[in-house]
Parts: sequence; structure tokens; C-alpha cells
Amino acid sequence: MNISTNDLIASLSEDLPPVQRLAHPAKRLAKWVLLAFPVSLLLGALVEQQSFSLVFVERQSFALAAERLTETRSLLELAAILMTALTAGYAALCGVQPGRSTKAWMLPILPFTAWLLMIGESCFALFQQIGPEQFSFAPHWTCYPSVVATGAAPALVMVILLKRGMLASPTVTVGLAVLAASALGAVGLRLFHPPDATAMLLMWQLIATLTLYGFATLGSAMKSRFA
Amino acid sequence: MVPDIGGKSAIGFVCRPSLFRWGTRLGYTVFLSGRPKAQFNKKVCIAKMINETERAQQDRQWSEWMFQAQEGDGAAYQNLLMAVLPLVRAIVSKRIADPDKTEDIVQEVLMSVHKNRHTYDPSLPFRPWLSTITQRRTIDALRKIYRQGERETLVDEYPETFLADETNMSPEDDLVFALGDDLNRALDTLPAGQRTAVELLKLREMSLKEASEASGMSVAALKVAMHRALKSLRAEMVPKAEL
Repeated sequence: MNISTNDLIASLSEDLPPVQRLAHPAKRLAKWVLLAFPVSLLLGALVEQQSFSLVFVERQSFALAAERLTETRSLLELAAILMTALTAGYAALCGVQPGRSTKAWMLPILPFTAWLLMIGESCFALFQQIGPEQFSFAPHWTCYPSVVATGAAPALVMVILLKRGMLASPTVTVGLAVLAASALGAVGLRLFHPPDATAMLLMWQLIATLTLYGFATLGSAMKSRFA
Repeated sequence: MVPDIGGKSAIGFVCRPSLFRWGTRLGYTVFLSGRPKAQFNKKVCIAKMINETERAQQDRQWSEWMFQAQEGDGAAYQNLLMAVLPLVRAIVSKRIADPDKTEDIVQEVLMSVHKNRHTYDPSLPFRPWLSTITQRRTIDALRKIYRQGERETLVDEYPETFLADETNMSPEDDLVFALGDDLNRALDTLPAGQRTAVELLKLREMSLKEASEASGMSVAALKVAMHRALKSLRAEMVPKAEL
């Protein structure tokens, strides 16, 4: 740089405008949940009504949700998913505020483990029920609209909130944000979507993130090569 | 008496922030060598307390300045940036040895601090916030340096950039070029015969015979004039060239 450091400091301090401070991560988390969760639930319910009314004529989305809210197993699973969303969201929002303790990154471990265990247990039960011939991990494209509908709003609002801060540790923060958005979307999916597609939602989010990450890395490499 | 380690006292050595923790981890006894443990610990503890108090005061002052800067106080912001410069330089130079690059990265850190000043929470200490930004920018700069290094080849001589002579001059050529004016001035001081000899023989690069025909002077006269001219020019130019 041609400018001296003292001159730079002088120019930065000149006519300094006031800034709006970044709110506490808990406040931003509340904003995220309040904005994204209702939209996710609404879109999830609407898409389910549209896509599955022909297949599951006897089961309407809201009836299914009401039923799942009364089952202990479903409630436990929903609690684990919601806790994963909240803790991962909090940790991700802490990650864009430099100087905050990185201990928050550990918060989602417990609820996420519980969620994964429940997914594993469901898979195992299904495997025992239908046998190895019928069991497959192939993506069901009929679930795709529901996955997009429930996951889009949490991901979008999270990106907007993250962009307000500074990505001090991009990989961890983006990973936590993806987990949070997936989990919040999974709540709606678990409530309104008849089959258990939460594992598929996690998979889609992971693939989408890795794809975007790959493009970003490629773009960054190209930029530095031709800069 | 406090043991000496490379010209620094043990207490001074141990109390440096980065090494203090290392010293405490070893129980302050690492530099003792037969001294009573209690006495040494007392000195270290006092030094530690002074160090931490100063550090805490400094941190509070920086937090206060940053709080004011977020409100739009330019003077507080300037004080803050000037005060944190040594810390930023220290963090950057820990990873990057080249002083020119260090200063560039320090400036990038300052711009990053400016851009992200809204992310500072005044209820938290200022130092970790600044350290995180500084380390982040330093790592980014290191990545850039490594990436550039992969595609760069060191050469002894710079290759030609353009065909024009002016673009391919070495510093020595520049010196000669700079002395061109002095040469003209020195030529003006020569008598007419000597100046003609230099112009024809050296500047126009004529042979003695051609110069003799062009000037009407004999070959011998041209030789003498040229010899005297060079002697005068050397006396005029050499002291300036040596400067």
C-alpha cells in the first residue's frame, strides 16, 4: 500500500458515522426463529396439502401434526430437533461476532446426537419391519418439495443474519448454520410430512452446502489466479 | 539477585504476556537454579499482578474508546487505532517476517476493524475481539502469499518488459542518465575546439578522418583536443558521479 498507516488511521477516523451494534446472539436467534419458523411451518403445511392430498387422502396435514404432537416418541424427537436448531443457531450467530467464546460451538453436540440416535433407531425399526430387500437409502423425489419448502426460510433468514456479522471461522460457522437451518426445517417436515424424511433433509442440506462450498472455493481460486 | 537469561532478568522474561503463561505452567521454578522458591514466587506474583492490572486498565480504556467510536466519536477511534497498533503489529509479525508485508497486513487489519466495528459488544473485553480479527486477516494474507509463491519464480535479472530502451534501464543506467545534464553543462565549459572534437568523435561517433574533413582540423589537432577535453570532463564529472 502506498498510504502510511498513520494516514490510514487519520482517514478512517475522519467523519466517522455511528454504527448500529450487532445484537446479542440470543436476540438474533429469537429473531431467526420468529421470522423463519412460522414461514417454514406454513410452507410445509401448504406443500403437504398440495402434494400428498392425492396419496394420503384420508390424512390431512394438520390432522397428522396434531397426532404427532400427542405421541411421546414424536415429541421427544421434535424436542431434540428443535434443541439442535436452537443451539446450532446460537453457536453459528456467536461465530460471526469476533471475541465471543468458541465454547458455544459445543452446544449442539448433545441434542444433535440424540436426534441422530432417534433417526438411527427409526431406520433400524423400519429395516426390521420391511427387511433388507425393500430397505433402501435412495432419495424419494416426492419428499423434495417438502424439504425445500420447510428448509428454505430458515436457511435464507440465517444467511441474512450471518451476513450482518463477520465470518471469523467460516467453515465451523457455516457448518453450524446449515445444521441449524436443517433442524428448524426438519421440525415442520416432521410435523406435516407423513414419512420420516428428516435424514433426507439433512442429506440435501449437506449436499447443497458442499456444492456451494465447492463453487465458492473454485471461484476464490479463479479470482486469486487472475487477480 | 534474579538470574540472567540472555541479558534479560528472569522476572522480566517470565512476565512477558506470551511467556508468562508458559512460566506459570512450569511452576515458576524453571529459572530458579538453587534460589529459595518462596522469594522468587513472591516477585513473580507481584509482577504478574502489576501486569494484569495494567492490562485490565488498558482493556477497559480500549473498550471505552470503541464504545465511543461506535457512537461516531472520531477522536476516540483515532486514539484507539493508534493504541492498538503495537499489538496488531506484534500478532502479525509473529507469523510474517517481511516488514513490508507486515505493514500491509496491519493496514488490512485496520480496515477490517473499521468495517466490522459494529460487531464489537461493549460488554465483552476488547482484546479478544481485536485478536480474532487480526489473526483472521493474517491467515488470509498468509494464504495469499503461499498461493502467489506457488506461481512465482525468482529471477536474477528482470526480463524486458517493453522494447523501448527507457523501460529496460538498470539503476546504473539511470545514474548515467541523471548525469546527462551535468555532462551537457561540462561540455559547455570546454573551449570550442575541444567541444567540436568531443561532439564529432564521441557523440556522432565519427572516425578521425571523417571528423578532420568535417571540422577542417588536422587529425593530430583533433587527437590533442580530444585528449584535453576528456581530461577536463573527467575533472568536472568524476567528483559528482562519486557523490
